[in-house]
Amino acid sequence: MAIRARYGSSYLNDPDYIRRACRFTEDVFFPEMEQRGLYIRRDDRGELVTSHDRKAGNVWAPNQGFSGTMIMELLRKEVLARRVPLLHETMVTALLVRDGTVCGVTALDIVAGEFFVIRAKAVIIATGPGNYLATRSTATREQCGNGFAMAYRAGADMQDLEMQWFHASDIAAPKSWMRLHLYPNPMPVTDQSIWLHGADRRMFFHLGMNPKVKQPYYLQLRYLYDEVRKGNADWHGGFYGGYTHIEPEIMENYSYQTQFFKHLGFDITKDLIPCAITWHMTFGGIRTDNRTMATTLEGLYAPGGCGSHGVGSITYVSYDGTLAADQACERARHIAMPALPEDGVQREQERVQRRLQQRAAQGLLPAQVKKRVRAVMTDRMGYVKSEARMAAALDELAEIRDRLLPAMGLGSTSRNWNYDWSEALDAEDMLDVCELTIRMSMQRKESRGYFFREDYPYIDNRQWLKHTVARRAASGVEFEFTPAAPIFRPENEIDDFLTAEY
Amino acid sequence: MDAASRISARIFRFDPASDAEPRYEAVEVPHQPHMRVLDVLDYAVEECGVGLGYRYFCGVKRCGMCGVNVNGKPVLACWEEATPDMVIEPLGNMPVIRDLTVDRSAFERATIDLEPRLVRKAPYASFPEPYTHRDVAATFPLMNCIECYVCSSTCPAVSGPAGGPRTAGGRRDFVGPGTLVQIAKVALHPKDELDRSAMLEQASIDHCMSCYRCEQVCPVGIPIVSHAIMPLRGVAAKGPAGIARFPLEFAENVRTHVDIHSGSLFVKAGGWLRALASLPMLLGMLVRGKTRMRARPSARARREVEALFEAAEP
Repeated sequence: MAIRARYGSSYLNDPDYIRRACRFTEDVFFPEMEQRGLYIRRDDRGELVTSHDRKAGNVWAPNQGFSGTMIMELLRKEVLARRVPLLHETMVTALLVRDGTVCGVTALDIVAGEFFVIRAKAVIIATGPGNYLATRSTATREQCGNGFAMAYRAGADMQDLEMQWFHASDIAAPKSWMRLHLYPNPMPVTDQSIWLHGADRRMFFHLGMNPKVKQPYYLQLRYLYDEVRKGNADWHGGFYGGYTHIEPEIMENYSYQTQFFKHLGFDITKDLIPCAITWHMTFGGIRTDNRTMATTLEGLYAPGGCGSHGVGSITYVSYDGTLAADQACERARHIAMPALPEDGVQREQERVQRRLQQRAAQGLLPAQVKKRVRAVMTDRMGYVKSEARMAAALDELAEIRDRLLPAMGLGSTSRNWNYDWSEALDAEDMLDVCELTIRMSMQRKESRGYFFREDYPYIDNRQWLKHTVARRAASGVEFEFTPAAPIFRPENEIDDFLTAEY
Repeated sequence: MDAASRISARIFRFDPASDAEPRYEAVEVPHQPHMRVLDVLDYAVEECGVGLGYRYFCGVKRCGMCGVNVNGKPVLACWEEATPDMVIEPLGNMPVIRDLTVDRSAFERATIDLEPRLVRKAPYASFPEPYTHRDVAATFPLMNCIECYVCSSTCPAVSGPAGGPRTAGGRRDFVGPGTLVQIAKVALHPKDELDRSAMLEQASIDHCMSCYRCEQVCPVGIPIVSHAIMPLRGVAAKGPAGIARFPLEFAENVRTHVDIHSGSLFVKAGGWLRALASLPMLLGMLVRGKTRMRARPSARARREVEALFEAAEP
């Protein structure tokens, strides 16, 4: 628990929240999941399989790299089998707000191309922490910052969007496999984990190199930064992950990833796997009260990764979900169905409908515009940031908004699975979220966790042990800073970012 | 393929709302290291500007949504390596929504209707439950199923592109191997206590011909017939109507007699009354030499048949 609170969020998390979530994980999550049939990996004696350094705290269902899929699928079937109405492959386009209260959403059914309104006494937004906002991202195709964009446009406070987590060890090729993560933490039944190697094939990082440091993800990035400066790696690739020191039986029996390496023809007992850096999840999100998951907009709850409390575990997400569901049910029991905003539905319907237009001869498809946005974020908003790079990113995004967005159009005006249409809405959302992320990043004049500014290369615990909060205002964006809950205080007031021991 | 080579792909295009016939759009794509079929589709959209309707979400064989036919073979686009000449088409046995996107809902509904949840009768004690990896060895390979329905798209026992399994007179069309893997995962779980024999019988599991085509195309390599369908057949054979008993009795008949002994097969699969009703047909078969009163297999034939059965057993 202390490791997560101190290091997982660079001292920005609320330790009380983490304590509650940890208790839920042990007392509720694992028993409930197992009761429903989730197989948590055991050995032939019936003991839970763990990595050697974490004892029973780290388990898999059933292999490293696949647990989330198993859990989500199990819960999805539970919902379907109970005949709870579900709208599949449907994109929420906007939150409907009247007098400061969320009263429903508008949505677009991607399969049939129908626009509709869902009225609600409470709305739970659960669009996740990952967003495909850079050329390489672990977020899935549909995750384009839509939840953040909708909440921000509706007037919710946003928090710590600058705290963007990067993976240093995801597979470099093929492009479609960029989400295949080579975990830096210890593997099942061993204390060993992946080694990173430079272009010269020499190992430059392994977990045991700095025993005092608890967070392998931070460490990997710092060491990679050194290698890039030495010319022995590149942010877009040119370095490797290696499992040559790990018994092949462990890889074969416990790693989901091994089948991918074999499929590409790698022999993991001697070959190194080309890696590249990838955008992972955002630690920040929609500002929430972590006891209720309520946002600053009445009637809107933001559990899980799209909230602001900076965790990335499916067990924590489940905890958040139960809190939000309890609150939403309680609210629904006690209030009448709120009225819809007078012109809000029509305005949104017109916005969505406007996007169903054929591309002009010189115009780009929405997927092509999204690719440009991602390229800007990759080139200017990668792991290494500076004021100048961020200012350039804002200029380049403004140009996309002014020049490319108006000429963007679809390949077809069909309503049948016209993914171009939803991507056109994505492009707008992505621009809003990327610009906001950059502006929030420019506010934080220090480095912390995964947030590294070359022009402020130190952790400033005197000035910046606090959250960045942003909200929409008539004049643009309004910022505010609120103190973090510092139960575990860092030892030093100022630390060198590249050598700090966490 | 080297880096300078190019990939030629002909991609199926069809919008039922506006097109009378499908057409094929040709794209040329420069080869990239380890390129997958999905990378080719992405390139067609992002670089060639083709407004293509195709479905995928994860790109790493987890969401199970990117199934397509490539040169006639059903595959996952994210898993299959791109080759120099490809014809990319939608999966079979499912209606086309647009271009490469198909309607999977009939298979998904069939899965939900067959109770894909663990059902306990004994109360759950506490975490972790006392069982070992050996106890779940039979179902362990099934856990890799990502519900892509690539297997069902090529199954000859599934009804055609009009829309997957339907229900008539209380009995469904064959629900397909993808659904059966999902059901086997829970039905064969050591803690499941629901009697699924009637619902499996109604799901026409006896229509499976054990052609193994599903196993040949499964992107995650699940032994579908031996680890899911055969054990479920055993469950279905205990169903109240007895309609799923025939394939098991047929196999047992061949194993016992090293040939098809029609008389005993009729009796065991249909009962004495049905067998008596079929007597004229049986006599006709005897006269024409289509069956024999008593099989006389050689010792070698017996050994060979037994070896085949042993090899097929999970």
